[in-house]
Amino acid sequence: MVTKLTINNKEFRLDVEPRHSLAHTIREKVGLTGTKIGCDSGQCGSCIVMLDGKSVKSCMVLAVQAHDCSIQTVEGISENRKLNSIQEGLHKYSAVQCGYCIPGVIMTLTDMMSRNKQPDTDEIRDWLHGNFCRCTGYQNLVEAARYAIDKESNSTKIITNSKHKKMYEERVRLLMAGDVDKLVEEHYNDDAIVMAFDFVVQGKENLKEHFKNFVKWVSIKEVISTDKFVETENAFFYEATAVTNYGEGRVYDAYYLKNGKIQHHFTGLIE
Amino acid sequence: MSFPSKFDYVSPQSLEEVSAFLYKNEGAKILAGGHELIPLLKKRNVNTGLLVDLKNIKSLKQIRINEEDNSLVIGSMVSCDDLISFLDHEYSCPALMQAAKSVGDAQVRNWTTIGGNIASGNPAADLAAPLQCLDAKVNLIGHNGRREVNMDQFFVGPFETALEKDEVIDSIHIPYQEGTILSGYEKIKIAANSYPLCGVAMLLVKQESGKIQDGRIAITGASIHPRRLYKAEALINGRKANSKRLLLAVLENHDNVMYLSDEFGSSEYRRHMTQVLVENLLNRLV
Amino acid sequence: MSSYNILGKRIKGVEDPAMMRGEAEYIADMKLPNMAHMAFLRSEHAHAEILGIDTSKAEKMPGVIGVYTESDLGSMMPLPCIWIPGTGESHFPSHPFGGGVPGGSPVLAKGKVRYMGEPILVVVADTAHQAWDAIKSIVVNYKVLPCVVDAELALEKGAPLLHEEVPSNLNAYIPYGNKEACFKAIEDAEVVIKKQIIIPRTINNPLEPRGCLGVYNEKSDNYTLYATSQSPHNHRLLLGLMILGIPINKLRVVSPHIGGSFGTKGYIYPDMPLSLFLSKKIGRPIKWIDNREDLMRSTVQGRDQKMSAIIAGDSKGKITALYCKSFANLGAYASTIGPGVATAMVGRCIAGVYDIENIFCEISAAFTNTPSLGAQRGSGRTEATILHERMIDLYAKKINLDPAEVRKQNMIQPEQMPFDNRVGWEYDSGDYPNAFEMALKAIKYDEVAARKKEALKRGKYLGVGVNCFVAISGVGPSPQMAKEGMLGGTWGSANVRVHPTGEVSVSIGATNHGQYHETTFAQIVAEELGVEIDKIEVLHSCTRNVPFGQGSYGSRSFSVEGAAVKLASEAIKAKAIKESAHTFKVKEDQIIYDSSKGKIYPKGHPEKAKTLQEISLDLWYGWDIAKVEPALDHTTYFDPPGFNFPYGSVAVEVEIDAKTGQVDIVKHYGVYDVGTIGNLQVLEGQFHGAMAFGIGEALLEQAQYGEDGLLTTPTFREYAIPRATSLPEFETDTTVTPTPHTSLGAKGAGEVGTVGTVSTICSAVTDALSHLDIDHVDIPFTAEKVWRIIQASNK
Repeated sequence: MVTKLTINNKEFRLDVEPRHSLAHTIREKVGLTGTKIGCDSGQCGSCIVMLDGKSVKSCMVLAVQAHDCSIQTVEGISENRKLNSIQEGLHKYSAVQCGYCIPGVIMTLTDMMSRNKQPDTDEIRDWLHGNFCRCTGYQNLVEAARYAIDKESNSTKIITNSKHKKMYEERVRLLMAGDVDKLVEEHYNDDAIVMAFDFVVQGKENLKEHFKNFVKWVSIKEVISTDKFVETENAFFYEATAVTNYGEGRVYDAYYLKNGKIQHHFTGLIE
Repeated sequence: MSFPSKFDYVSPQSLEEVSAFLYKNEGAKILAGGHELIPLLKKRNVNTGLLVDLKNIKSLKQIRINEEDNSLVIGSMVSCDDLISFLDHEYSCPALMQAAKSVGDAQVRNWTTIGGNIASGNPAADLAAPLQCLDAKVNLIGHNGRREVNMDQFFVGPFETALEKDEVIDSIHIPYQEGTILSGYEKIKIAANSYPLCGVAMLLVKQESGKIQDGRIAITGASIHPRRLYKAEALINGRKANSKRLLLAVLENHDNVMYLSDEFGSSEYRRHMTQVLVENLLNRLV
Repeated sequence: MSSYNILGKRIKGVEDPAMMRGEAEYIADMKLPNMAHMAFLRSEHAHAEILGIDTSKAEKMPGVIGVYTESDLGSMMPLPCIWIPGTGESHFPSHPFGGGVPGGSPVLAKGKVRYMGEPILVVVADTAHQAWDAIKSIVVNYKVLPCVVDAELALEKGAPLLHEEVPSNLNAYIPYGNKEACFKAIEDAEVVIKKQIIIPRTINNPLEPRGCLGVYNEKSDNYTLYATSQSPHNHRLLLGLMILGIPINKLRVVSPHIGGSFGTKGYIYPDMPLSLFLSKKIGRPIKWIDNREDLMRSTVQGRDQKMSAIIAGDSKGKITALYCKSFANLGAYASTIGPGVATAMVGRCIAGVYDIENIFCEISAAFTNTPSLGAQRGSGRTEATILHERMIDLYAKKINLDPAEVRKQNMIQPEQMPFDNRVGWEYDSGDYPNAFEMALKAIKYDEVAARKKEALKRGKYLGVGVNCFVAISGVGPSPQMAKEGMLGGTWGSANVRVHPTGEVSVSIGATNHGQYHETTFAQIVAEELGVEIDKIEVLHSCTRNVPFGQGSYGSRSFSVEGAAVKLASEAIKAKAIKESAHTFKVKEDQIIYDSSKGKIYPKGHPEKAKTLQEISLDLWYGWDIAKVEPALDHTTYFDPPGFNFPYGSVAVEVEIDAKTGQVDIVKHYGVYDVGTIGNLQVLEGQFHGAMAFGIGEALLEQAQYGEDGLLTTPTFREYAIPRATSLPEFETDTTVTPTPHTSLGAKGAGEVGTVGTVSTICSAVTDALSHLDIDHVDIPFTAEKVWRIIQASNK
């Protein structure tokens, strides 16, 4: 049977037998073997994936049942192979050991963190009730979860692949390359305003002039994203550390968008 | 690896089609969440030529309060997790909530359905006990049309229900209950699989005097199928709730419950634990 | 505590990222072009004659390449056993290899099956589904025979006989210690207590089922086996020499990532030779992955001792004698090292941390109609610890003394080290009383009475146990292992190679399956040579990458293989110093090797310092070097002069619900001394995991067999293992007493958490029930079992 599955944002049309489990299909037909099979009977949790935003045991789901569904596996939880906060926590506490239960544990914690921002230890353990682990005694898995919860609650949520984040990254790239014409043309509206404490600049040509002067005086060597990035549908804000010829400084930028381009842009240094 | 034998698969858009498939195909099985069925298929303890998946019938995933009579209508494909969310925000029913939260684990609750939980006839279905206490009714559709079965008539034996082979559960109706209602669910978990070794749901409708106007007790896991303890209930109706007579009635098995004995526990233990849970619930609710 | 810079530190595991991203390759993840799949048909009976097998339908099914029974195996030999309990009588089926090698199990059953789950035939097909479909179509005609699943019953007259060559099912009878002296001391003693202690069968259940992928390459006439093996070199030797009869240089064995083992994957199983043999036969790679139910019925299982013990002493707390007679259930066949696990690892350990003048232990290992016995985390030592700690509790109760006082009075003192335990082991080092005091303090032993009172108000029976253990590790000194009957060496090996570009490759004889070897072994090298951790790669688990290796079992990896890595690193350092002396034109004793910075310079001239990379480059060129061989590369083989003996003390507080019998562990503390620490974060993870294993064994786990020999707990639906919701937060401490046997000083660490935990929970539970006049309950303490005891004593 032809079955359509969207796995980690990629669409697959697969010919599967109705008796094929989702776990088997993800592993054997798609080749994503991060999802493990431990008991194949819905108990151990090694095969947990996110299915339409909720964690499920993929050995207990038939691939045909997941037709038209969106699936996230352990391979799809972080961008560019960068460790996310759950993985960082596991790493910090050496909670991986044999690693076999870990993909399932990561998916369970992913589900947990999408629902309950501040689960306590008992709640974390309750979430892990369906993940068998023979190595860790669960203690460092719980520590890892606590680490991830703390980290996520202390920093603004990282949005990894949003449209706005891409726009921000592209802006930084153009500024560093000194390509201010392209920067203004592509990202700003005709009557856009850039504002700081001590200046206001309006209009594309004025903006180009402003940015040309800026890059003449300030050469940006590196911009370290601080993970403080927030966005709504028509605005975004970020804080970053910029390394320039004047040394290291913390900067912020706030943008209000109109028709997908910048209309108001507030910027400044963080003391 | 262990794999089921081959079967065909359909996912119709309506319950009438489902019923037609069941009627025409001997041995066809309904697939809801699959947590009961798929392990059996994998072990080949159950073999089927056709699986009829309910996932495309949108109405089965709805849960709503019927404005006419204030009853709660739960579609058979409502997941445990969605039921919990609903009970959390829109409808208070501690017994059902506590039972739903005690099912399996987070992933099972995400995927398992209320219909599946009872339709398999599993003697240890968690949700069955509170549903029986709530005097719920099961709405079925089959080849000969629609009918309604009271929850206390739904289970007829171990893994046997009132469902005819061409019937499917549409929804479960929980009637509106007037008065001060106290309810709860407690269970002794089987360590290996989290099913109730025995589970007890209790619902008490109290009068202002503090007397119990209507006390209901149902058990699951302990016997060959979930059931109400009507004779024990009769002993507390019209009385103050802290009734020793009730505990004794449960212990002395006035209801002639046939307690199960298996690798997880003896009938004697199940009988005593039922009494312990009844006592706990009485202490907690009253 | 120690003056190390890197060793012992909480360095993050270099293994983690690949596993956390789902990129690490386990056996089930491997795929080769044109690969076929194999499935087993297993016996449905515990003991039966095979009258006939109808495979006709299977052979015609889609995708099926072949159906193979024992008659298709040509000259393939059965699986051997390589641990003959060495100091008593033993009986095995013969093995065609000869030379005293005992027979283990047939690869496929020949005419008879002896346990439920025994492999009868295999199907090879294009896909795993097809192979399984074919298996399900095959009908076997059995004549069911009477069976026996209990070791003591198996030795009785008239019991069903398993092997014609083994009279009365007796695999081995082994005595340990001095029988006459022990019996005399018991006779003369003021106080004598007898008790039977039964330790049930358990199933390791690593999360990853076993699997293998056998490849025969016709062009090179080479075989490669990818398998979940804890011991690739040993398995190559056994497969090549004693099973398949092929030169072992023609066979490569590789372990990919292994998803936990805890003992089970150190054994030879039928799938290993079959996948290789059939790969050659059909000209395609053959993959096999087990399923959970078959795993529970056919991988080696643990424990299973039926012990009758006597403890004797005076009325003031001095123990004068300890005696144990045990029946060990070996299963239907001797697994690779099962007989030794069931005997020496128990019998020589029953003295524990105590100075007991007269000890005698006799163990009879019997064949029964159950799956083979093997190692399980803490094997032998856990059973022995339960024995001595339980008996001491009983003795203390009888003479009305605090069990802690009795323990202290009889404990071996640090100044008695090295200590002959009188049943065969010589303890290397340790301060047992110190560990015990730490545990008493941690559990607030003085305040137990008040806590009991408080708990009773809540309807809970509170109990506390504080136990001590010592757990032989570091297999091993080969000559001593030879005396115990091990057919094979058990030394360590390592190769350290410093590349001319400064990176270091380290080959180790250990096999990683969750212990962070790639991190901890790198820490040894980094400490010694002053090279950054991220420049060190650790190679393991492959017979081609690593010259030789004895694998990982019995907590030997870091303590023995690590010691070899340390020695090889020391040799590299010595060679680098020699070469530096030549370069700097000074005497060797004038060279400073600063390991903290990785700098080598002549005394007083740090400004001239060279790095190890520069020295290595000089040695690589070999143009003008000291009188040494070129290249900075060293291989070491190291046989430790003695075993090492990690020890510790565990304190557990339990609360038992008086109404339900449910046992809750409310506090679980362990102080462990494993000598030199490799990585504290990793070590704590090992403690936690092992303690959880012990809790599972004490409270939940039991492989149950009916009288028909059928396993009634074949899946996770019946066989409970601990979950996150049922475990306490563990508290652990460490002390460091290095073993004097190696320059590294590390002792075994992976199993200590289990060894101390089970017995301590026993003590705590019996303490909680002591007001009911209960002195012993056998594990596991399931709620119903405890409830029954409470009920019985209420009546």
